[in-house]
Amino acid sequence: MTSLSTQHELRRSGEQLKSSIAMAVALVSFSMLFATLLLGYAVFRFTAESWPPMGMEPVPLTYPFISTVLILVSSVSFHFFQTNFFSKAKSMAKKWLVLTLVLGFGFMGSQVLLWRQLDHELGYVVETGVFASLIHVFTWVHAAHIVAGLLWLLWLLPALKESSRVVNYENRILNAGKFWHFLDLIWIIMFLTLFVL
Amino acid sequence: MAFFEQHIHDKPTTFLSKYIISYDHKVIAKQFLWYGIAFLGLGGMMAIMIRWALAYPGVPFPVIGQFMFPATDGVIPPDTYAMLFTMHGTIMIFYAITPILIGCFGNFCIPLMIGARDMVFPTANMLSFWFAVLSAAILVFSLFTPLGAAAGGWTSYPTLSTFIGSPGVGQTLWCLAIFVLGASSTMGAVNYITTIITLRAPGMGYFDMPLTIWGLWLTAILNAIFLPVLGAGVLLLIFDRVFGTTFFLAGAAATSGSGDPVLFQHVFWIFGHPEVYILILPAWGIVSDLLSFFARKPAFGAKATALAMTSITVLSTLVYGHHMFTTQMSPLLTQTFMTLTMTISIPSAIFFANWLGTIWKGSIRFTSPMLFSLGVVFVFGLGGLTGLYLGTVTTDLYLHDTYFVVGHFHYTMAASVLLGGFAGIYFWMPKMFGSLMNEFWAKVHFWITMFGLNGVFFGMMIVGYGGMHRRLYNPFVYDYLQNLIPINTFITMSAIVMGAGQIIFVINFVHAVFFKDEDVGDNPWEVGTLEWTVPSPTPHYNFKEIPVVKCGPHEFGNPALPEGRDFQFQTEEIAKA
Repeated sequence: MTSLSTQHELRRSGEQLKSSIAMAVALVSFSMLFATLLLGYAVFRFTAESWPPMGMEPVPLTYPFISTVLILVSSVSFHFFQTNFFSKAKSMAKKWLVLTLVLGFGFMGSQVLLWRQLDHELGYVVETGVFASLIHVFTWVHAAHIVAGLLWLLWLLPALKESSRVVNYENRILNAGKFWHFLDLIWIIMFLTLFVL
Repeated sequence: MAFFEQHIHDKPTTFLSKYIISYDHKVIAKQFLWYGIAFLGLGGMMAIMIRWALAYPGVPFPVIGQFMFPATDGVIPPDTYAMLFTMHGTIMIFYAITPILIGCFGNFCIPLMIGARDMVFPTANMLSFWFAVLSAAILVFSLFTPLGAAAGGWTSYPTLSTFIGSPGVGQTLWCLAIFVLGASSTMGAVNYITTIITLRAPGMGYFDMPLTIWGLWLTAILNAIFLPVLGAGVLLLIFDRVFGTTFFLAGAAATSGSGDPVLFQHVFWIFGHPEVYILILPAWGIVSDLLSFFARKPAFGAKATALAMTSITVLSTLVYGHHMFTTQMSPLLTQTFMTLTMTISIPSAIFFANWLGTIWKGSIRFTSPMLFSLGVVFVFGLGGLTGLYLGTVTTDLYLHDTYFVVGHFHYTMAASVLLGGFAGIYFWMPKMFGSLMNEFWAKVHFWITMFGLNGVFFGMMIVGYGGMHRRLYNPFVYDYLQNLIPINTFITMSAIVMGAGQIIFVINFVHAVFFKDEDVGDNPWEVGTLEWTVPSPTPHYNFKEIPVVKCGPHEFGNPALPEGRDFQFQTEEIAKA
């Protein structure tokens, strides 16, 4: 007979294993969604005579750049939240998680500003040709995932209660982190391919 | 891998938690089974209507025609005809085969055959079913919208599927339904993959898994990777239809930067070719197991079969271009895709030979699951061989979009998968519902289905070779197709006979589920895999004690076994003389 503590350990490692495998598979699925969008973008871009097409101006980099900074810093701050939480420094962890959330909502804000700029200042509404459509669709789909990611981050708040135990929240936090870093990575790819290049 | 005990939900007590919002993999499997059978009926009715229009053009559809098409005196109108074949394809693929083969057998077999008490994520499993229901509701609702449901073919190529080709809301709802169903299947796939990796009973290596589990596992992997590709495709199509973007519109749209209709075909088939393997892999797995179970012999080259299925899974991701030979693809690409496609015949031939090796000199028991499995061997052989003509550029250019294609993919995706599904239902019936179906009527059902479907699908290949295009409302307005009317009538007759034959199955099934009270014992088929070590029907917790696996799933006919017994359970050490 295995002792009770070994059983607990087995169960904990089992839970960790299944949650990390499932998250890996789920991230493959999410990647394929964005990869397909990227494939479409590549096809349009490489078959166009000039880019942006139809004599359109490139989108100013201000808002995309702000978005990039916000989401990059939020990724870093999530990392600090995670390490602090796992080393049981709850009050520090709380500050980092709140900062992550603020930056996450800030990212959404900067996206909204970008959409306003596209629609009202530049006149690039969604049906103004494939260039404007691509930017809108990409940012919409990404933002939809950001909303899901923010809900996930909010779902971590109970972990900050004084009475909470690390073992009950570790997988939830690790997975939320993977998803958030993944969205960060996707945004950086979008920033480079859609706006900079 | 360290094995761990999972948390199990308490036994449900209320009707709602027992049959509707259930976390139990066995109940979810049954839910998927009923769902699939219902849509099989609906899709089958649509098939009969399509066939009626082709055999008797201009003749009113009998009995219900007057009520459904009053404007044309019961004759199926052309736009309805296009809607019928579109919805027939969509329903059969996504709402009948997928739930039965993947939803039902995946949920039922995976935990039971690997010795687990449930899936790793019961909640995701339950959500997966209810997402599928939501998707089906959207699709069925689209049938009642003003301009009718989607009518651009199940492939929904632009521009047929953009608002220029289909102005109604039906096509948009179709896209939405497929997107929701994709989310449902992806959730299921994550669950299946993780369950198989983490919850195999102690002692069960990957090659100790039954081949059914191999098939379902590879299917889940393909699902997780490629369904999001279709998701992105239909998402862009939804944007084209709802927000006025022009991703898939060329021509007029070229004034504002160019869209590309062929892009959708690429995206669709990057998903679509793996999809045909998603559908067939579980059936292959089931058949590989059943042939061994009823030939009372170890599965010949079981490891090779598993590896052949794996290499087909890998290759299936690289061949999608053979659906698009006629899209002005560069000859270099068509030849590359052709060569890769031909490569698939190597692993296919390996496991096909293994099937024959398994039944060779076996003490075959011709039970109903075995008959259906042998049926799969036959029809999949035909379907696979005719695929070679379509994978070859030179012959495909002639055969493209003819009824030859329809016959071919029905042999592989419809006939094989349907027969494999029936084999599975007859086989696992005692474990699911605690009773066996009537053997005599099962065999009658088999022979009617077998003759019916061969009449239908072989006939289709003949008229296709004769030049009949697959989506014409009334092909016989062309003089050169006039002499194909008799064969088309024969196909329709076969289809009606086959459809009527399914009534036998439904009665047999409903009778066995609800009205039969018999004790079939734990192991009526005398098979050694883990699910047959527990009582029938399976109790809530599956296994009282998690089993320890000591041998493979196909240990039959070992001479060292005691007298009167030719199989051993996976929980037993291999018998030694």
